[in-house]
Amino acid sequence: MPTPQNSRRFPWLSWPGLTGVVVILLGLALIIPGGWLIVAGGSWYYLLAGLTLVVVGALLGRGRWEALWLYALLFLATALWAYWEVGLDGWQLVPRLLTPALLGMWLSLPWVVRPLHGAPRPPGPPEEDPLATHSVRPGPLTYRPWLGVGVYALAVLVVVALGYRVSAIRTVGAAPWQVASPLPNRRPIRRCPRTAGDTTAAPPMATASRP
Amino acid sequence: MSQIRPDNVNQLELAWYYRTGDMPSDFENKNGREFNFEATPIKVNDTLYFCTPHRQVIALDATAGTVKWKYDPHNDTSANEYLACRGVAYYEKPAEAAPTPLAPPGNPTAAACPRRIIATTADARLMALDADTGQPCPDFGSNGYVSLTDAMGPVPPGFHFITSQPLVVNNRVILGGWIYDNQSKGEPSGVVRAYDPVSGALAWAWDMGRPDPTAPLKPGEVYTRGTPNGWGTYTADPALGLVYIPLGNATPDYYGADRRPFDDAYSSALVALDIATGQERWHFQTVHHDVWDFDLPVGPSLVEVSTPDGVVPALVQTTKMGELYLLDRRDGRPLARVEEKAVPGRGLPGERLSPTQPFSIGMPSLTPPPLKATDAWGATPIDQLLCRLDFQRRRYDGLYTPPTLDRGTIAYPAFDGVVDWHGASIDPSRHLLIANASYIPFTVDILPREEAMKKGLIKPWKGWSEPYPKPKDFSIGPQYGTPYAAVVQPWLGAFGAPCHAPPWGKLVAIDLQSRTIAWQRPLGTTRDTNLFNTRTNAPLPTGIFNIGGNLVTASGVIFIGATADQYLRAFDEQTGRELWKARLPAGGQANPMTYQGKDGRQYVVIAAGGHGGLRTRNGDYIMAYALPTPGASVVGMGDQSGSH
Repeated sequence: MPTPQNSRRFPWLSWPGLTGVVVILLGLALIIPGGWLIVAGGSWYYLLAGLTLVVVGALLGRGRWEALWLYALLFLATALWAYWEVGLDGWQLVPRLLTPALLGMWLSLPWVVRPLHGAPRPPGPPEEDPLATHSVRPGPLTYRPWLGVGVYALAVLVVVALGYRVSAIRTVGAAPWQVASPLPNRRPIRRCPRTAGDTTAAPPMATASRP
Repeated sequence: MSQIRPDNVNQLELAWYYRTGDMPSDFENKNGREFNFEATPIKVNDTLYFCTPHRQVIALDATAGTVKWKYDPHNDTSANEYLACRGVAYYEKPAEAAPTPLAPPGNPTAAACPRRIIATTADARLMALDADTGQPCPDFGSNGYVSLTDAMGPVPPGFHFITSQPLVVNNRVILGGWIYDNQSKGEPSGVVRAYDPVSGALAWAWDMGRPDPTAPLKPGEVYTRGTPNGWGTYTADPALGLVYIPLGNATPDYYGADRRPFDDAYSSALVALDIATGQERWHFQTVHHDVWDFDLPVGPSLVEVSTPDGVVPALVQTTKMGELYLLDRRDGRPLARVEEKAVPGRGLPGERLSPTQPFSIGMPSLTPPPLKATDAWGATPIDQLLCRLDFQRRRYDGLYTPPTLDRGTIAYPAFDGVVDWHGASIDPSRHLLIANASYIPFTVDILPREEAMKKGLIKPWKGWSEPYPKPKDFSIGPQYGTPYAAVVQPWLGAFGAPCHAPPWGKLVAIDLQSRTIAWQRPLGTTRDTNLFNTRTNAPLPTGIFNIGGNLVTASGVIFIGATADQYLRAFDEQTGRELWKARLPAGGQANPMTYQGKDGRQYVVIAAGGHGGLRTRNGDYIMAYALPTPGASVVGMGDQSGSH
């Protein structure tokens, strides 16, 4: 892509610019161990996510609103990957989605979004910087700050709610016994998997009476 | 106890609290050192008796919470890695006051100390205090004290002390002790000893390393060093005349090539000894050639179960692995099938691993499912990724993955067990075993001795004739006398969050008749956890790490503190539903206890003083809860001046 002239460079000392620096650093923090993880035979996700974050950060630094949409795409892809890895186990989704959603909320705040859409217009004819032209044009891709905050906040709520849900699933209750009686008693017994460890994959419990 | 019931437990309120004044000093909770208030108070004659981590023994009015007496043995605890005392024991002389055969003739025992508190110090002494006055009993040992380091050979400071309460049964005081394990070969003996509760004279000693384990020592002899020790609370069946000793593994913990036949026979075994003579009746080994520090940390819980052959006296042994063994307590025979199963091989050079381990397949298990790469956890993708990378690089073949040299391993479960020193409780009328389980993997890194020395982890040491150079952190096991040092650390991420996903703690009810899980639930929340070195996290109900036991009442209420979030909770025994909780001023890593006060009210008490390993807040509280009475108000007593 063409680099805007120095005179029109987006200021680093702005909320989008500083955010871009932080996002690039976060990306690097994923790229380096993420590369090792692939060498060690693990998931490719972290390296790819780290590379994407670096691009997001660079776009932010250049004052381009596409950064916001690229991050939204990354978040969506992350959510799909997380579901593929751990299903709807909310506590497992926490490391994968919680702080990414918080970052998404930050990226959607007006003081980050508005400078991108209403980027300081360089002097001169707008066609010299086609991207800047796109930026100010209202359209379907106009990033609506508070809506973005709401969507990411909803993701946070969903993750936490799914956590409560998995704890509820792990709470495997017993039917109250009929009578507490001395040996031998005749209260209903429950047949459960031998292992207490994983109940999410357990067959339904059946109630039976002991002879 | 059935005044407090599932339908009224939610009205429980604080009746009184007492502050002991025994707090840790700065250095006592750093570098792996732990200040743990683990005491379970005992109640006799409307008096509560318990010990503090620095070993003060305190008697409180059980109804009012006011102090009756306090005794401080002024023991030197400066070298001790752990400051913990789980409780004291009570002995009352029989009414007929027949002179015991072990009491030296002419001893003026008749009048002195008819009721006594038997306790231990943090420098390995046994003591008897007058239960009414708190003064040492002059007829017991030497002015109330008996040395527990006699005939033990060299015992450097901090190498041997007793953390669990002595067992008083059938006119015997029976105890083993904690050994500063994983330091060296040839550490002080794991001998189990029984004393006369009146005179303090040695009644018998069981030393597995001697051809006749109970033969008295000849002058100059010492008890066999380096043998497995029984540091947990013992259990006894007075009717059968048996005491059940939960033995640890032979130290050093993570390298066993030099273990002797008796070490290998008794490591992590449950041993039944005759209370009167100390002679072995049977033993049952839960881990063969233990190189994971899977010590049996607590004696078994006793229960009767019906079998095709009728009602059988049984015991349930909880373990750090999460396996539950159901044994006939007369002969140690498994009542639920135990099967030897193949386990991972390829240990350290020179190591001889057991190809199989005994799995209690006839019982439900609290062992967690094996870790997967996707179980790597963290607060953010970054610390999760680092944990995941660590998981990929380390060796982990499931339970019983042996320590290896070429790369570190993950031990899961590990020495900080699924069910640790607090054991499980049993409701004998409903045949339910209630167990709280805690799940935390540890990393084990083995370093050749020279490398560990070069890295400054350990210092050179020539042996017992020299002062012992303690490693700078408790996670470092020098294992002197072997080729390797071991570094064992909890598997936590870069920001202090666990490296593995929840649940981290559970409460489970097991039906001992049908041998099935009746119910289970996550236990505790993330509140107070130390993520980013804060203790102020959102209370997410993930289930949290816990240490400390539970109590089940006749009315069907389970009380438990234990969790890293600082609450005392009540659960419905039928369903596992949480009925009530109270915020504790410090970690409640102790077993709760209940009794009826002289005012007729049922009290539930728990020590709230925190646990260094769990990093809960330290404190010095005994908290007592009861149902409200009109006009009652909370009374706080004790020394509030702070540190010891």
